[in-house]
Amino acid sequence: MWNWWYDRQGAIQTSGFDFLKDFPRFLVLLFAWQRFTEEDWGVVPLGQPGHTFTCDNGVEITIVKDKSLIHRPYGILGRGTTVLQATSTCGELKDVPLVVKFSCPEESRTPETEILDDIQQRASLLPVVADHVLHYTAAKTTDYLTSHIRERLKLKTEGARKLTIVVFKKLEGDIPNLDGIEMWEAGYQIYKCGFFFHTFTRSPPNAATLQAITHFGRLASNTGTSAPPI
Amino acid sequence: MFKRIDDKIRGYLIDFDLASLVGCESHNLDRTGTIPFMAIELLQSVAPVRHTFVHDAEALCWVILWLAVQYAAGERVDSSFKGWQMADARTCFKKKLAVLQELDRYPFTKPNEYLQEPIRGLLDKFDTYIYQKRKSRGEVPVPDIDGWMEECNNAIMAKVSIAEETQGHAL
Repeated sequence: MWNWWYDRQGAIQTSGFDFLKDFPRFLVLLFAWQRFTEEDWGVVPLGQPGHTFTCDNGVEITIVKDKSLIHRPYGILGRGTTVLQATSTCGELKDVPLVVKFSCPEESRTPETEILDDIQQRASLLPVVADHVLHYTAAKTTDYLTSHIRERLKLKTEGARKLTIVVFKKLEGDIPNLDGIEMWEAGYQIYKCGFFFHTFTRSPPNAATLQAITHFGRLASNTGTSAPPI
Repeated sequence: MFKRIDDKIRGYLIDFDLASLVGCESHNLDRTGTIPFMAIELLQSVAPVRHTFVHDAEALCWVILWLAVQYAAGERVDSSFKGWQMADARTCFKKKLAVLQELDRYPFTKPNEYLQEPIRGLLDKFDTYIYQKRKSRGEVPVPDIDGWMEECNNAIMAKVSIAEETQGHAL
């Protein structure tokens, strides 16, 4: 008998044993399984329909009971980004449709919340951009890490994935589902934003940013063919 | 994603979980992209090139050209770019340069005709941009399309003068 454990990082196989010759060991395994909680089996209880949890900023979020699923990829490997509909009873979020994004990015990556914080800070410079980025409403840090089991088994932990939960206000739909001029308009707005985020690397008030922005000013207003000073 | 606000469409940039901050060490040194649609500069270079928004914009133009020349109302009616899917980066690079030389040999199909002039114009601009970049071996100004860069630039300069003023007071 061989046991396999699958998670977002990959599969782990145990060495095999003969459950007739080694019956006591088999019994112990069965008893261990009997005592497994849902979480031990790999279920994320926070993502179950109707479940309520509190985010890091104190906001309480409830996953919608019926038809909560918006997006879930096939397969067991990788980030496995799952988006569910949710609601909240907290103050101004009451009656606002929300979505919760569960995903398992690699732990070595910059967390999405950190990138969104940075983006928020930079976007505040420019109304053209600020209107087209959505800051997160809440986030929840979890201690689910695929490296835990690998550390215990003394396996390589490289490429470990961490479960992250981010809450956003719900939007209407995907741009590719729009038709004609509306699709172009929305796409063009997004493209402009992409341009800004490639151009700004920091936000004021620091001297390096001012330099970067003035440099960009020259870059954008320079219509000749000579290269701008760097 | 999008949202309608007062009947006006508003696009949203989302999904930053695979984003990295500009200047941070990249996790991925491979050329990521679908070869037939990749920017010429990325296809040409053997050494890693910093992937920027200009490459994304160029890729979008290739996608539109691909669709608008070969498809009419969802049906493939022409196969001008046959073989591009299977071609390697180098071959695709050469094929793209050849297309840029004779853009008028690739007419857009009936329902897409209104896109023909703008897309050809943009591809022309990218062509010049790539040429200048290669000639100067450095940064060259990104082509300003529709004057929107100037519009954005003005917005930034307004903020800069405010920031400079406050900094001046602090000194």
